[in-house]
Amino acid sequence: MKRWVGWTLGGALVAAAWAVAAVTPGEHAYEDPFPVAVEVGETGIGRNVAVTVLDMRRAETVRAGSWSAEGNWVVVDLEAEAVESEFGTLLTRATLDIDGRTFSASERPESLLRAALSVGIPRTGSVAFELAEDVDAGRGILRFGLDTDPRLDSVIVLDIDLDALAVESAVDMLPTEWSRR
Amino acid sequence: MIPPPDDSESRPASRFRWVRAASDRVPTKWFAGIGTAAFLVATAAFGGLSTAAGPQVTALGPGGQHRNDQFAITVERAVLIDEFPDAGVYVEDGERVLALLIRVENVWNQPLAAYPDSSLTQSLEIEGLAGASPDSVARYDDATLSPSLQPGVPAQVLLAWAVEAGAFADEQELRITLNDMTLHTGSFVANGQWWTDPVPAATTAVELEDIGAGG
Amino acid sequence: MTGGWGRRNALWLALAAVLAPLTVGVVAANEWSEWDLGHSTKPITVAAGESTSYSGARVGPARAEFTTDPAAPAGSRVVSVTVLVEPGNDPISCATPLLRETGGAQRQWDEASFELERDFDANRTTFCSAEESLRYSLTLDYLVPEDAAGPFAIELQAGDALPRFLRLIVEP
Repeated sequence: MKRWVGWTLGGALVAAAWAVAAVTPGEHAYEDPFPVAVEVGETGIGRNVAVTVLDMRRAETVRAGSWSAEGNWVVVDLEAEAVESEFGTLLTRATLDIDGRTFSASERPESLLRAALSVGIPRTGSVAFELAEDVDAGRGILRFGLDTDPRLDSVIVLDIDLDALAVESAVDMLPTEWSRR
Repeated sequence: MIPPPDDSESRPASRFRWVRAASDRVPTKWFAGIGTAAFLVATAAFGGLSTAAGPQVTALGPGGQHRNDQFAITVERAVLIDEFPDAGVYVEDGERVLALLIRVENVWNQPLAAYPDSSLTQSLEIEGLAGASPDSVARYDDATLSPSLQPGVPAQVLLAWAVEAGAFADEQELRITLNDMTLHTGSFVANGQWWTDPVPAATTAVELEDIGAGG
Repeated sequence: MTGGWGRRNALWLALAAVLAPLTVGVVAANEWSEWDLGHSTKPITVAAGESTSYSGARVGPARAEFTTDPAAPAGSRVVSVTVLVEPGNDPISCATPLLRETGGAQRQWDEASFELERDFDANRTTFCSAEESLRYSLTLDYLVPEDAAGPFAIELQAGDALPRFLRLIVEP
């Protein structure tokens, strides 16, 4: 075999190995959740959850009934319903990934977090995220789902831009109730 | 007379002759030497035969903050009170409530749930309680039970134990050990990340106030 | 060379080819049957207006109708269901039944007395209580969207009759 044939073959195999390694999905790709990307006002329909984000607001003080708290809050108003079954179906997952950190919706106020969802009949409410004081600007990702363990289930995903939201001094969260049609 | 070698045996021998030639090139005599050298280098790299240093335990002054990869904790107050249902702890006859007020910030990048026997309560050990985890954990400002601590958001949290009425006294100095936990990532049969393996890292002391029935 | 070995051991190879899948099958069936016992996997479908015996009791007939309720949001209506239960010699105890569409996406609804803000009524039972020995009726209300027209199936499970469960067909 001529020497250059051997070297070319070897080089080609090395290149092929690099290409295969580059294309191979990550270690846990087989159990990734199924994202449904939506914008504000659009309904994202997952396997058993359908979420429509109505509005996003930032505030220094958040009120929900008789409860109120100060901080760096982001309030998301949304409508949520179940799609195929109601048994044990709660909106347990509501997270905001921003600035390299993950924030989960606050359980301090009464909100749509962990609310029971009905099939075909949407509920309107709000969830509030208490962010660190130094998170002031930038883009983040909102995720909604039925379980805190999101593997292999649908997740409704939405982009959020903090720069586009004006900080209000006080915001009232929407009470959890049936959606008005 | 020696019989000629069997035809069926020599055919496989010629097929595998290249293996024998290749394995002859492997310097098996050197394996023992290479193995010993590698072992000695590894031992030296891990500190040789000297004793491993024990964990360093810092003594914090009152109100000092202990910071690790997970939390920044400051012990603020400790009180003895007859009952404290707002904190989620219920006493029986002959019991009182020992409540520890701490200021804690989650310095990790994910939310951490603070409930009895969670990594937050395993990070605080009060001498005299024999490592018992608190009966309830609540936020001091709005009494939310078992709160989730968001990253970068400090909060005042109350840990409450139901203790025997005579076990603690007014103005008693409570010695508290603060532990560091290690982040463990599940790899093969487990999924996710969690904090485990508490190791003492600091100690502090706080004076217990007996506030009787509260106020 | 290989052919000779194969021929010599043909009997054992054939035996292995039969026993290996058989072992897998038996072990799997054994393990799954244990799981099966605790879950409702074998439905007994009861046609509309009929009754059947289940867990030692006579269950059915089930009747349903669409009703309106002030507490129901716009775009939805209530399916009011009554199921007759006649306990036999042993008491029957079952959890609150679920409502499921028989066609389409086979959506499932939970009993909605709480959402409909029904007042507590001691005579209104939504589950089979083991303390009842006389004939009684289950009164169930389900909140469904307007596009759910039926027919529906009321899925009723009694713990000691699992994995068999009842599917009572109703056509409101």
